[in-house]
Amino acid sequence: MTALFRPSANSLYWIAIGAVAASVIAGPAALIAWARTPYATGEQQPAEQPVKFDHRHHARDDGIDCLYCHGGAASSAYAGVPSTARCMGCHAQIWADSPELARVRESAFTGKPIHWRRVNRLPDFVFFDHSVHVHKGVGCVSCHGRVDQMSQVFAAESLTMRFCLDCHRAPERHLRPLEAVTDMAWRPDRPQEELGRELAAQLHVRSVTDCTGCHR
Amino acid sequence: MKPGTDELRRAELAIALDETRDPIARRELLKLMGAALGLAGLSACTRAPAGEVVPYVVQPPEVTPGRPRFYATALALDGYATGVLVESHEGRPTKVEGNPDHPASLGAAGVYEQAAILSLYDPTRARATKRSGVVTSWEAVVRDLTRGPWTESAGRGLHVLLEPTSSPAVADLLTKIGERWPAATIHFHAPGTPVNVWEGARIAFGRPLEPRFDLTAADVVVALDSDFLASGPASLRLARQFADGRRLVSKNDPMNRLYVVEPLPTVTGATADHRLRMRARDVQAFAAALLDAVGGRDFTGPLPAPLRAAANGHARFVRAVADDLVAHAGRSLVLAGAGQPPVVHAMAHAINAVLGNTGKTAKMAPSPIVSAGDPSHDLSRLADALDRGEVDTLAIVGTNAVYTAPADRPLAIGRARQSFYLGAYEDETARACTFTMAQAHPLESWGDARAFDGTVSIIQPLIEPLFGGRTSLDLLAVLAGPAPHATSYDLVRARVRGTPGSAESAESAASPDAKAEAAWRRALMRGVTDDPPIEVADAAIAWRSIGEAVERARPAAANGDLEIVFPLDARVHDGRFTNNAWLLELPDPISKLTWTNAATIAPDTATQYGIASGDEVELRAGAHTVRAAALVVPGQADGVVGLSLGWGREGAEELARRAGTNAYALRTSSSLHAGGGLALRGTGAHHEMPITQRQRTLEGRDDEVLRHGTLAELRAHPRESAPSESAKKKKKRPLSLYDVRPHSTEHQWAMTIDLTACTGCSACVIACQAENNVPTVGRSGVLMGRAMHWLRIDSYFSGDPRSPEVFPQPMLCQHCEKAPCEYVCPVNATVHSSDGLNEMVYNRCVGTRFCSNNCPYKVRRFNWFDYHRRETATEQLVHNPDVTVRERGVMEKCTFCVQRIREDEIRSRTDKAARPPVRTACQQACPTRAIVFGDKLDASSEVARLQASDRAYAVLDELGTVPRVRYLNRVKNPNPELA
Repeated sequence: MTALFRPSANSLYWIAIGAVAASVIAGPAALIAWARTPYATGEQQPAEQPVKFDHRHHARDDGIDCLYCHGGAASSAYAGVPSTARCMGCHAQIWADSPELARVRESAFTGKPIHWRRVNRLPDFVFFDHSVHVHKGVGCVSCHGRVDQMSQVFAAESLTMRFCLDCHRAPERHLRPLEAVTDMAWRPDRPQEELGRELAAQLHVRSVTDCTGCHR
Repeated sequence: MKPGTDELRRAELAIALDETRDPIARRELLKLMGAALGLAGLSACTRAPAGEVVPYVVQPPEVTPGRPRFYATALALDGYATGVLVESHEGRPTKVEGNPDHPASLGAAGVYEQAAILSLYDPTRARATKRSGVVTSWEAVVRDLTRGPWTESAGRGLHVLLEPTSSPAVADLLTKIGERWPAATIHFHAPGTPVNVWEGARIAFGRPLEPRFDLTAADVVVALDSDFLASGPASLRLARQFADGRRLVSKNDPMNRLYVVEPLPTVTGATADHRLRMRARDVQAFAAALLDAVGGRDFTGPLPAPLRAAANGHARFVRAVADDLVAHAGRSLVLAGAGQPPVVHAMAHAINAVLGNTGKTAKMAPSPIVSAGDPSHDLSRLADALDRGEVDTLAIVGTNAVYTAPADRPLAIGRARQSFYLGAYEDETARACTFTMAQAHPLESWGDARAFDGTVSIIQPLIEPLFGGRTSLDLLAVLAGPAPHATSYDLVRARVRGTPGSAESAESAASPDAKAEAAWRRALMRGVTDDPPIEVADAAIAWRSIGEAVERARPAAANGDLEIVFPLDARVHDGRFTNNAWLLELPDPISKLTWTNAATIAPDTATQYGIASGDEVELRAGAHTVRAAALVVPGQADGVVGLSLGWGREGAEELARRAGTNAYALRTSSSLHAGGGLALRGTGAHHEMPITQRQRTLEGRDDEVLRHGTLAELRAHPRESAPSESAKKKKKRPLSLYDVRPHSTEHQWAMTIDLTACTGCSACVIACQAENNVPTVGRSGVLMGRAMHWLRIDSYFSGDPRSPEVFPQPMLCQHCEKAPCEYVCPVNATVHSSDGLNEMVYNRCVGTRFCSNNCPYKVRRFNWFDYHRRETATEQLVHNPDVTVRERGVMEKCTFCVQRIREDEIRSRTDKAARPPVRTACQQACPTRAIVFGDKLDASSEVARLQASDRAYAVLDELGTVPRVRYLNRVKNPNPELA
């Protein structure tokens, strides 16, 4: 009587056992890794907006300060998106009949707001406050990237918890003088760590790593 | 252990054993667990939806998205206003807080005011204008309302039924209606109208005045069936004043003394230094005996013999109270409850007058209520007119009179040719009326209202009417004049602008219009107008009239029957809040009952009738019969059955239906507050009682859990909890295996709760629920012990179970420095912050519930379901956007309102403006300021001072958890003569 299984079945058996055992580790590990991929975090993906707004014109060419439109960043948790009236403040005068701005004019005339696509999104259990970061010398560019070079805005960073904690654990690596917070092209004139430590002392920057700092 | 507690303990043991009857067998459970484990992983496989950002088209200049704004308005209950501040996030009101500038609030807010925000977003509120159930328009209502034979006869046949109101704008419109339709009849009705108060003042002063109490000047207070600390128009203010009179900063501080005589246990009774339980009908004999004992006979003549005999049983108590009152003449006070007959109020006035308290602790003033003391507050006049067919057109404004009418005088609304109902819900009255209209919520309305002292507040809307409601002013304006009808905004604004007040300074040079506009703006900002309060009346007491009333008073025959008492419910008032889940799930302050009412009964009476808690009983009074679940309540008077009003609703409100027993079906016009001749029998059926606290005794562990004592003891024995230095060294903390963590030196948050000041009113429970998005779990959830309150009020009975002392104790996360929960969490979901908070990280929690099992205080709550998922989009609007809405499967607990702490930290770094110190929601709402929160490191802070106080102790201190919440022991001030 021939054996029901050939000798190689033993090897296959062990390989199969090993594969199942490995998948217990590899499966969750793959999911964990996947959640951190740019695809899953949504970074680097430009969002199609209802109005073809180009930050390159406004922030770079015209030199409009970030806070002119996103003023909430200095006083509130939300940086905010400018109201239609803010757009029309200029565009009632310039490019007043541009077809690209038809949607903005429509909003102004009908009173119906523009629905912008959200680009930077934090989970609901994260309570991020723009104002304290702006007041403590964290530049816009640190989280949002070179918006002045983006034709369509995309999330420049992953905004995962690790991204936040890297800075919260060592804020001196990213601090800049308050007058340079909205400066997209600012470069430190001396070693960043040295400047950062000085600024941290001057601005009373704390390294907040308590959970309730962000999760409430 | 005190004698008598054994009985209570046996009952508790029986409950505990009962719980082992688990409907799910062990094997079944393991199978389900396996399946749940397999499926649980899938719940992580969701991707965050891509969101939208929708900015304003024109951003209002005062709005900064993300920063809440507060608007001053007022909420009226039975006509009396309480000033509130409402938090609004980008035009969405989320929380009600007290207005410090308002005399009835003083910064505190009660349960009804705070829960109003949930009613605002109630999706079952009335939405449409209907004629006989078919949707129609407001214009059609206006057309039909202003037509009819009564327009030809000066208004004869037009009847208007209103909720009692103090609104000057409504009063103006009623005057106009009276001028235009002199034969029209106005009625007012609410079960809580203090008619007896007015009638009592009429006996004593010849006029329907209202007493205005000042407890700051009262050392001895006697409450005759009066729950003044928890109900009534000025209860928040009185509670503050009362607590200030017994707050012990040092042990030699003076402390007031409270005697309470009452049939049912109340918050005030639980706070009393001496409490005497007696039938409601016996209170008048007690009052008469007290009047006699303080020397009233010199003014009113001797007591009639039967009345004197009825109080003989309490001679020693009466004597001691009277001596105490006389010893504090001019600094004492006797209050009578609104449910007591007028003669008791008259006698209370007489006692105050004899003692020289009148004008000091009790000032008499005209009522802010429109037509107070007028027969228009008697609903039977309307019932009679309907029966006689005299009513052509009936307009009912905001009062669910069909439900709340006495059982012997139902309103035959069908006999009116046409009837109109403006109501918040499609309730019992809406069903009886031809036309129904949706009434706007007070937070959606323009209006005004007076406080107990006549201070006028503007009621301003926080949001457009969600369901297109109209206000009572809108409807009355239709009757008051020809079209175009003034809007409520116009009416309120015109009145305030028309009465520029005294507070004129810089703008005195400005034009009259600018001045009027400034007055209006000021009123909107402060929440009170410049109108002065109603002045105190110069009332002379009419001894002869009181003497005659006392002479006529007869003790009710005690023929062995039961007495039924109908209190306003501590949670749903007269029934108007029965669709508010926060209030339904709020445990009754004494019985801890939720989601229903019950026929409460004293332990001895229950034994006599062979009734136990949960047994269904049939109550028969005259021709009326109801069935209710019985609940044995220690401290209730023997021979009394209590059945609170407001339950057993049959309207369209979803939560209200089928909950509890309708007490109005038993309540007749001769027994509006209490009545005799009740027959009770068990039906054999049994109901499960949704009670949140079943362990009601301290098991002799008073020192570890709830320290209490008397003022004399405190003064005689400089406490054990402040031992000498040598004793301190001996009593070192138990050794700990755990390292002390590095602490922030900036702040260390801590809280103290003064049990002497706490009355157990539960305002903090609702405040916490509103601030922290705490879900309700429903009747079945409470029965399974799944109530979610982050802050609960435990209440313990001590002493004789027939008449025990009641000790309320707010219990919340103690924020232990060595927190047992933190050591057992396998995923580090609960950790300690550097500023001393025990943090709960929801997105880490996997729901093992180890932490809850290891928590000695049982303050951690588990989300068994996604309670918020069943909420409609409208209901979700109530959530505080600064706090996570928790999901199924995570633990949660008190965070010390960490969102407020962090916001305050951020603002201290971004804004230069001075801010008030951060306060927790419970602290903010507390009428007695029993809860104090602050930074322990700041030596000048109140919390640091209180934590070092002689009276401070930690609950279950011997466990070595080192809680950050410290309690100040409960000190009572009993009369040594009654020891």
